[in-house]
Formats: sequence, C-alpha cells, structure tokens
Amino acid sequence: MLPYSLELLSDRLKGIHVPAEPFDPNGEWVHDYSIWNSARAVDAKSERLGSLKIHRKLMPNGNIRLQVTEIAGLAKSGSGVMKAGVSCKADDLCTPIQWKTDSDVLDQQGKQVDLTAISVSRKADDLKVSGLLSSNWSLFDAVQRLPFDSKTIEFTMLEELELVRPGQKLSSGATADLELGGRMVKLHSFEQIGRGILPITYWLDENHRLIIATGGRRSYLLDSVGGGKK
Amino acid sequence: MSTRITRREFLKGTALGVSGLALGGRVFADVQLPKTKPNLLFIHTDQQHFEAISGLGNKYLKTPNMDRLMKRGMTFTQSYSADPVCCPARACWFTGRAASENGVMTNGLPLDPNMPDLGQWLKTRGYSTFYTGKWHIPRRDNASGFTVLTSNPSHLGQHTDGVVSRSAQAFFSNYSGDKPFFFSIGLLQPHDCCYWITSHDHQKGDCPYPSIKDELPPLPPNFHYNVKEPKVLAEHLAKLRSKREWTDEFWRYYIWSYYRMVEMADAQLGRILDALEDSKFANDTLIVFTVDHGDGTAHRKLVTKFFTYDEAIRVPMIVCLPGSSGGGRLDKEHVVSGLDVAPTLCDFAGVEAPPDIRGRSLRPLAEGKSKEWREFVVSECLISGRMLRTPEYKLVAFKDDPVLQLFDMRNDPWEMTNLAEEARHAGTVADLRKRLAEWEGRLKVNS
Repeated sequence: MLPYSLELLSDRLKGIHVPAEPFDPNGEWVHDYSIWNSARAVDAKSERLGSLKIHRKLMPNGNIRLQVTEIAGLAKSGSGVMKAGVSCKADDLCTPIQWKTDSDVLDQQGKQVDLTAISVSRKADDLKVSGLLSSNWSLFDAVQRLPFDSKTIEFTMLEELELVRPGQKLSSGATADLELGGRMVKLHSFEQIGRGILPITYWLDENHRLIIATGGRRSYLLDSVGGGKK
Repeated sequence: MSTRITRREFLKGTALGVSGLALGGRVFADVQLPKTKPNLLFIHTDQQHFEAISGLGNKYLKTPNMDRLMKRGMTFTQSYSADPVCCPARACWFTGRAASENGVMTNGLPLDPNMPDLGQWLKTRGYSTFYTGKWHIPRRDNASGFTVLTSNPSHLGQHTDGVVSRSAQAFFSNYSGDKPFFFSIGLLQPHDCCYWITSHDHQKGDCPYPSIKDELPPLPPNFHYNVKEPKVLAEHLAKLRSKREWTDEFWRYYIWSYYRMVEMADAQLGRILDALEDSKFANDTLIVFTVDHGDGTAHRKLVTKFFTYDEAIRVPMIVCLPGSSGGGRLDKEHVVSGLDVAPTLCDFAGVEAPPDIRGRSLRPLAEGKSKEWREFVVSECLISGRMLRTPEYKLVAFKDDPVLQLFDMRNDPWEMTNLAEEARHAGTVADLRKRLAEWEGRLKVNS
C-alpha cells in the first residue's frame, strides 16, 4: 500500500529512474525534475506541467550558490519562466542571503509576451522575517543534507523568493520500500506543513538524493542528475 | 496619473486596523478622487467562501493581503454571485447582464456574440485594457477586448497563479502608456479544491496528518440540516454528496486544506498589491476584488458550487477607492451582486455602462455618499433556479416547482428553517415572488 503522499502519483512511480550511484549532497550537483500534476486513476491521468533545474555550486567563502530555472507550462499559451541566482548559507535550511530573479511569459512560439518581463533583486536582511528562513528551492538542497531522523525545524519559507509563508514545520517522516524504475528502492521522507501550502513530502533515496517532492497537486519527479558523485 | 508614493506612505495612509471597521452606511467626508480617469484594477479569485478571509474574523486561516484590501476599502458582506458557477458568474461580471440574457447559463455555454464585454467596452472608451489569468467565458476570446498577458494558463492554480501574479507584477513595473488602464487579474485558487475533492472521493479514514489534528477547524453549524428543497436543487445536492462518505474528521481536514488554498491565493494577491503600491499607479487606481462563487466547505456536507445556499452563492466583495481615503469600512446591510461589477467600473471610468445593464454602480456606497439602495438582488442557478435576496429574506424558486424556500437571513443565517410553507409568511412569499416576476419580466432573453 502506498503512503498517502504518493497515492496520487501511482501511475508515475514506475517511470522514475533512481540512480544507483553514490551522491554527495554537500558537493556540487545538478538535478532536473519534471513537474507533474498529481492525479489518481479515478480522477484523471497525471500530466507533465513543466520542469525545474537546480544547479548547486560551492562558493569560495563557504556559501552555496543555487542556479534555478523553473518553467511552468501554460495551457495553449506558452510558458511562464522564472530564473533565480541565490546565495545561501551552508546551514540546515540553505538559508537564502541574497538573490536575483528574472521572470517572464513566453508565447507558444517562445517569444516574450510584452510587459511580462521583470527582474527582482533582494536581500534577506530587508525582509524583516523573524526566526529561521528558507525558500522552496533551498529546501530541495536542505533535505538532502539533513539526517533522516532530524528533529522538527520551524521556519518561514519564501516561495519563489518572494511570497512569505510563515509557520512552516519540517519533520522527518515515514519510510517506504517502492519499486521505482524497475528496482526496489528504500525511500526516506521529510514532511513540511505550514501556512499557505498543502503538506509537502520530500522522498529521498538512501544516498540522500531527493527523488520526489509532492504537495497538493504539484509533484516534482527526478529526471536526471549530474555532479555530486563521490 | 499621480506622482509615485512609497509603500510606507501608502501603508501609513491605510493603516486602519480591522478593529476600526465600521458598519455600512456611514457617510464620511473626505473622499477625494483623482480629477483624471482612474486606472481600474479588477482582481478575482475562484471559489472562495465568503467567510474565508481572516479580516472577517475567521481564525482558521491567515489572509493578510485580503485584510489589507479590507483596511483600504469598503467590504460588502452581503454580496452575491450572479450565478454560482465559474462561466456564468464571469460572463455576468464582464457583460453586466443576467446569465439568462448573456447566454452563459452554465459552464460551457457560449456568450452571446453580440453582447460586448468590459474589455471591448472600455477599450473603445479611452482605456488600455489588459488581462492575465483565468477568463473562462466560452466562445469569447478575451484578446478581442484585452491585451492578454496570460489567458486560462491552466486548470491548476497551484501551478500557474504564480505566473499570473508575476505577470501582473511586471505589468505595474513596465506599463508606460498614456491612457489609463483597465487590468483584470484572474487568480485560480482556491479552485484547486475541486481536484482535492475528486482525489479524495470514496476516501476512508481520518486526517492523514496526526500533527495537525488539533488545528482542524470545527464542522459548520449546518453540517447536518433538514430543509425541504426544490426537486432540481435536491437532486443536484444528492449527486454532489453521493461520492463521499467522509468521517467528520476528514471533513474537517477538507476545510483545513481548503483554507491553505485560500492562503495560496492571498500570497499571490500580496505580490500584486506590493507591485501596485511600489508603482507610479499606487495612488490613482481603483481596486475591485471579488470572487465568482463560493464553496460548500462542509456546510450541509457539501463541497463545490452550483447551489443557492450562501456557502456557494455569497462571495467576498471589496471596493478600494483610488488613493488611501475612506478605507476600513464594513457594509453589512446593502445587498450587492456580481452584476454590479460592470456598472461600478464604468462609473469610476466616467463612461456610460453597456445597454440594458442589470446591476448598479457601487460607487455611491463605496464613497459613503448615499444610503439609498436597491431592495433586492436576484441570482440565477442551475438554469431554472432563481434566488431573490433582500437584506432580510432569501427566496429560492425553481421553474415549475411548487416547492419554494424562504429563509429569514437575519435570524437564521445558516438557512436551517424553510419558512415558505408557514402561513404567517405567506404575504412575504407572495411579495417576493411578485418582485421576482417583475425582475424576470425586465430581462431580454434571447431565444
């Protein structure tokens, strides 16, 4: 029986490729995810909605640099593209320090729609957020470095480095033995619950590689990996 | 156009706490509108229950940005969708005509091709018109009336509301036209609840997240009810209920999840308001915020829409005047309608409204300049149903159905007792039916 958070992905799980190679979450890596609309068979078939690429780099000053490209496919009308360069602390939550985002809308031919391009540069210090801070993209890094039995962490999340989601809790969750990509894989999970989100579950393989992040109807499934090999 | 003000100055001008909200009808003195035509910003969410705003006292969710709008403007608490389902409600907004007149009487039916929409109307009357987000008016390409940034970007708000709000953010930063703008922004959340529901049809068991069990909202007071209903309505509601036999705790988990989706919409609204307030348009833009229809949210063990109980048909409505004056007011008395959106926007734009419009401009109420108002609004539902709402009563009647509903909305706000068959209310029923017949008689229904 599938865990609750994976029930909506039942028709997708067998297609997930989980690399057998070791993985160093503290090194440099590139992960490509497909974004899927999670759906049950009784409801509708799942559909691919877009993609996310995260490139983690190590900075000389000990910080982390995340280069992010998230593409949201738009029905009949092209895509919404967001790119971000984020400097983060190498701490438990990959706390964002400062960043620049570029966003626009592309039409079906890939041409930028007039008036939709915008760049935003900010520093975390300007936000006046109390307590710990993370971002939705930082968490893709953070969960890979946390011990599977980590204590609950409370924090504020910046979605797309802009939308403030206070009252988040990240806790270690269940494990599951699943057949993914033709082989049995043991997965460990973290569960995120808080304001302004439906619960998000992060599923990682035993090498601490983030394979699935799923919450509400949006799921990120690992397509391919690069770097980070021991 | 006005000179730019900083966000800090803007907030200072609107920093009236919710505790300072006053009852409607209060006339205030110092509303000063710009002498030039204001920009018009029409923001709408999808399927948001009328109480799903923390500024209205709901302690089970946090909507700081809808609360910001409340602090800045006039909140109408007796606001009704013209037809509580997506396409009809939206067609009524953009035409100002009843669903039975504009043709969009249920989802999927086409809009009368000869009926202008607000984009087409204002575009030819001195405005630059823009659209982003959910449109959902069948057979009417919004590009015919608007410059479209995004249109119906997906059926999942969780996936594309961010794209919509970012496009709005960019618009406020980039627009440099010499005309005032009419900008309509359609956020899709919390409509994703429809897919949450279908994903949990036939669900057994309780809330799957033990850590939130103490946070689950209580069941509503009309979770159980026993009210005589017209046949079409009763059959529709039975169908809505047929797929789920959720436990009480699972119903509460639904409400909890629904509120998280409202918070998602609120965060996107925050990005839009921040961008507006940081732009040169901060001080000369009218904002109208409303919702196409509500959601059952466990009232009567119902979810979604398509019915005449308040859960589905009553919606938030906030009007914020250009600039920062006159905010933080709550109008609990006047009944208003989605049909009022078009005449309100035209009134502030200083242009005549489209012909045969059914609503009224909310401007006199929003400016606090008038207490004179209509006696009732009428909404349509499920094609053959009508709801007539006065400040005191709600009458529900379906064509050729002898079963009527009459609710005393002041003393029975949860609509638990149908008074229609009580002899002492026969006069009220007759009077409201007469008014309804007169209203219907004025409609120009295209065969």
